[in-house]
Amino acid sequence: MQRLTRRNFLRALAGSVVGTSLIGGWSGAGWGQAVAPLTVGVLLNQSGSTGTGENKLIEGIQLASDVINEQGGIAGRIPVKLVLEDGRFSPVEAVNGANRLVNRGDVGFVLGPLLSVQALATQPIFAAAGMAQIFFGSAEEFTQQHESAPLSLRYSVQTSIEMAPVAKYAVEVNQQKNFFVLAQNSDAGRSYAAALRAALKQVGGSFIADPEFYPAFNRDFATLMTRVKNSGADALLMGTGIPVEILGALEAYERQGLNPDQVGFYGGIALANENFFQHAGSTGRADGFIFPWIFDDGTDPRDFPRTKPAKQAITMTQAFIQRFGHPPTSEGQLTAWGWGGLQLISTAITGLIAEQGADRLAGMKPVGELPRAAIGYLLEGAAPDRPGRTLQTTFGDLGFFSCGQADILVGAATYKHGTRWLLRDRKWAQALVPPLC
Amino acid sequence: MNDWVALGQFALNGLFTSSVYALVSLGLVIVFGVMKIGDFAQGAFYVLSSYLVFTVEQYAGLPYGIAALLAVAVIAAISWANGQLVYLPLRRVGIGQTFIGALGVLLVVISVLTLIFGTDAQTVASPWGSYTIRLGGIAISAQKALVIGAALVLIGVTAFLLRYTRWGKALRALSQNEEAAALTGVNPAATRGLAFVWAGVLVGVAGALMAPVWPFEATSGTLLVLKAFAITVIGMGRVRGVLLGALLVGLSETMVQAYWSAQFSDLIPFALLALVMLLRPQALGPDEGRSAPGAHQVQQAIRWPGTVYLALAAGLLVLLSPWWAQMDNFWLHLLILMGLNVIMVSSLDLLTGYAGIPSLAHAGFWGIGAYSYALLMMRWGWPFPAALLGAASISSGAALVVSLVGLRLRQHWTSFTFIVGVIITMLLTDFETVTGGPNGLIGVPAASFVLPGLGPIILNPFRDKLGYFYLVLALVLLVLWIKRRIVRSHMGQALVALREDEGLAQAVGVPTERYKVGVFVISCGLTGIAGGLFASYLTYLNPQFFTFEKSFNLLVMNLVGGSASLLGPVIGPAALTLFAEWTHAFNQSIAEIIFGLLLIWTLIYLPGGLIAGSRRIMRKIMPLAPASLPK
Repeated sequence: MQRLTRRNFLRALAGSVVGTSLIGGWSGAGWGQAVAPLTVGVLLNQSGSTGTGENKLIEGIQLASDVINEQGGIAGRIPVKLVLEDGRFSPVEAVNGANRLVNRGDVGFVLGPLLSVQALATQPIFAAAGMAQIFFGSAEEFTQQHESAPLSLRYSVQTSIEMAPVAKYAVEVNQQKNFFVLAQNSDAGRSYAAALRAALKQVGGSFIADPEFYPAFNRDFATLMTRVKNSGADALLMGTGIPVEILGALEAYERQGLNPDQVGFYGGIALANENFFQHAGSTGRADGFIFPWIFDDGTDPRDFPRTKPAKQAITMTQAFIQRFGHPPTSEGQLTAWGWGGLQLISTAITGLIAEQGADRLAGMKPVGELPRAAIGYLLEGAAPDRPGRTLQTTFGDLGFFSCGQADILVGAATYKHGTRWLLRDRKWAQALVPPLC
Repeated sequence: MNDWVALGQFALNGLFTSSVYALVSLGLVIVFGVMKIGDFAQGAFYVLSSYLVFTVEQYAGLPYGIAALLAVAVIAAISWANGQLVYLPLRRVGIGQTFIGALGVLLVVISVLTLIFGTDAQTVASPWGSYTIRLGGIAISAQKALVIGAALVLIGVTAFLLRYTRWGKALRALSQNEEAAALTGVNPAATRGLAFVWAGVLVGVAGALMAPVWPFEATSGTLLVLKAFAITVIGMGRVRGVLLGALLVGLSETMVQAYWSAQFSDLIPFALLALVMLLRPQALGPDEGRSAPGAHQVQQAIRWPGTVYLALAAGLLVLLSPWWAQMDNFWLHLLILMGLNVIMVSSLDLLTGYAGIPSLAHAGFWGIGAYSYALLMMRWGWPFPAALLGAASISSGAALVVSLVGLRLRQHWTSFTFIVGVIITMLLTDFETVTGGPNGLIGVPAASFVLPGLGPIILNPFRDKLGYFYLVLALVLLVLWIKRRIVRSHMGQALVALREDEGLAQAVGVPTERYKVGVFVISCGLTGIAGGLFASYLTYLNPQFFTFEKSFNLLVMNLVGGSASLLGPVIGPAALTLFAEWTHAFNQSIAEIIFGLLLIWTLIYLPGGLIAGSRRIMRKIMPLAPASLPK
């Protein structure tokens, strides 16, 4: 099993160039014979502020690829080959990476980006090239643009999904109704604020003041936290995905003598981020903080009856333990995203083979035709208000809405004594989730 | 907490922030006194100090106090070495090059830190634990109180050193007039060396003391040093002024967060700086300085007819058109982006190379052009050619306002353009009703026009790379032709005179102010065209495209390629594009370290840029007739 190191990647890249030229691309190699691999592009940041987290995504993709190939490939016959492009935390680099992937001519599927600005910049590039894209960004605009990018699917949550259990738990369980919102001055931060407001409205909560949008990467929250304390709010939302900001806010929160019983500390999925867990979650500093949970492999303690975790989640965790000697860290959700993204492609192709036969698929062009068929398979039966075909994924059995949004629900979680603790299950706040298309 | 107590808390928070700014700004003041540049490398040294404390505590197990002292000593030594190995050699070349060199050092140090420590935020435990000092309802952590105390002590010590010690007097003399100071027995080398050391001590103390206060990562010092630079200028380069400036900025930022909106708090130091520059420009201290005359001698050694260049280039491009048509789409994409950079760098060169007034706002005007194009097309349905011209006009109009306002500054023009660039980016982010804010603008229309005989043409930037390539190429040639015309005109001669000796130029009747405004307006107008093309090519805009880093990259391309020339602004973007492509498979930190080191090397050893280096080689191969050589 080869790790996706730079050397191996370069070797694989060289091999794929030679291999592709020799085999002459996709068509002509029937799947009963030696098969051209399915080339999947990965466009994620290996560096920059989100590099650590996105490397976990890449890890999940690589792990899934290894497991699939150990079993002979997709449907036991089609090996997977990954081509990695580093977005370098820059929208221009992401555009360059997208163009490289398009230019290869053999990449029909792309996983990523995660960052909304990179995803928005590259979505039209992949759409024009007839490439299927499974991305992880959270900006609302994606689903609004689905008509112009019909092969793009979001295997991730929107902020409205994240904030539903957070709002409900704050108001109905913690009796904390008056929120002060501190959010990053970015598309994500504004989206968090809007989503929380909409969710609170349904359960009788509200904002005590207009949200404060602070500059990105701000670490000094002393003044803002004084305002939080002075405002009479009984709950605080940190609307950001950047750990250094949350850690800075936590420092100020502690210095003000605040605790979750006085002013609840609420956030998005970033409160499960490994960096935050290392400095706060695991040390007990974040005990009582409330955040959404997405990934469950059955190992976390919980307040609700334990249900059987998703089969893909168990498979992924077992493969991870086998490879690395320990389970995924608190960022298991990122690994699960990556694993799940590639598994969706595998599921689609396996399903198409079962429905249409291997020969039919072998005759399809790897760019344009095959991706369209695969996305069509995944979206079969989907409507704007109803997910389509039910698929087994790392986040449970779910489908996609016709606008490309995955029907992922999230539950509410907290930290207790330095351990993640699941408070409510995925469906608990489902009624608060607005139409996603 | 009642309102008065809250006010007291905010004031204390502001005092703390001011203390941090004051420490870093003092270091900048010291270096500015001897080097006449904003030493942005101090931002990297600040965060390096924090990492040193972290490393010594974690891996050597030493207590915080010892770790902090060691960190300060190391940073002082590094600051001295940086001054000796990078700044002093660059100083002989020119102020602009030294400034870029400082940014190069910042980049290298940040990349090394990222390579070693990764991108995760780090924290250092406070030696005081959770101990908090409380006065009534006002609270401050013990570590923050220590920062305030240390800042006051070091400000006092610095003031004492500058006023009463031999070194301080020598430093002040050197900053006023280096030649005269040397004649009076001041040792410039020793004085500068001590200046670098003391600046390192100041910023090392800041980084070490702040490590237990805020979480940090490799880029944590960048915005801090930008603000400190603004404070240095606001403070007129003097210790007392810096103290007042830091208080003003720190308190203002805090009060804006407290009583208005956190969204605008980062704008405060830059807006204040712009205000000071406008209201009291005469108090801003010594001249920024121009590029050393020697830097241009190499370009002037060979002057081949530019028209010949252009004609040859156009002919070659036409002949090679079947080859372009076969070219890989990815390389066409790179050439398109490179072409846009050529337009921007060529226009920037009019300012940097010919007028001697480098601009650090070009990315901002590029953004104005891009958003103008997008809005004209999307909201008002303008056709493509008109929208492109509209983009150029709006960029020019904005440039006119900026230049009329900024001309009063005279000697601090470049600093002013830097502030303008930062403000433009922030405005593009904050005014979302117009620009879409942080979400950006989606669905920007692509290029479409009518050609005689061919009818309407709509270029799809994703499928018609070749069409876009030809469009960009045509505009590149047009811009180069326009530049050539300007350079060969009376205006061009006036710009060179302005660059070499503005006072003398004015004395002989050259209306320098008018020409400076004119060249800035033209330069930004051409950049606006590049912005419109960029918007039409990408079909998506976001303020993150138009940051200070892009302005820095453009200036680097200009200096690396060679300024005051026609080909230099073509070679610079080409070289950097090829470099980026060569290193794209590398780890990003390693690529940036290589880039930073190569940049510094090029600035020191190829002061005229790559074009000058190539001309030296050509001169050896094809010596010119005596009449062509400078007298």
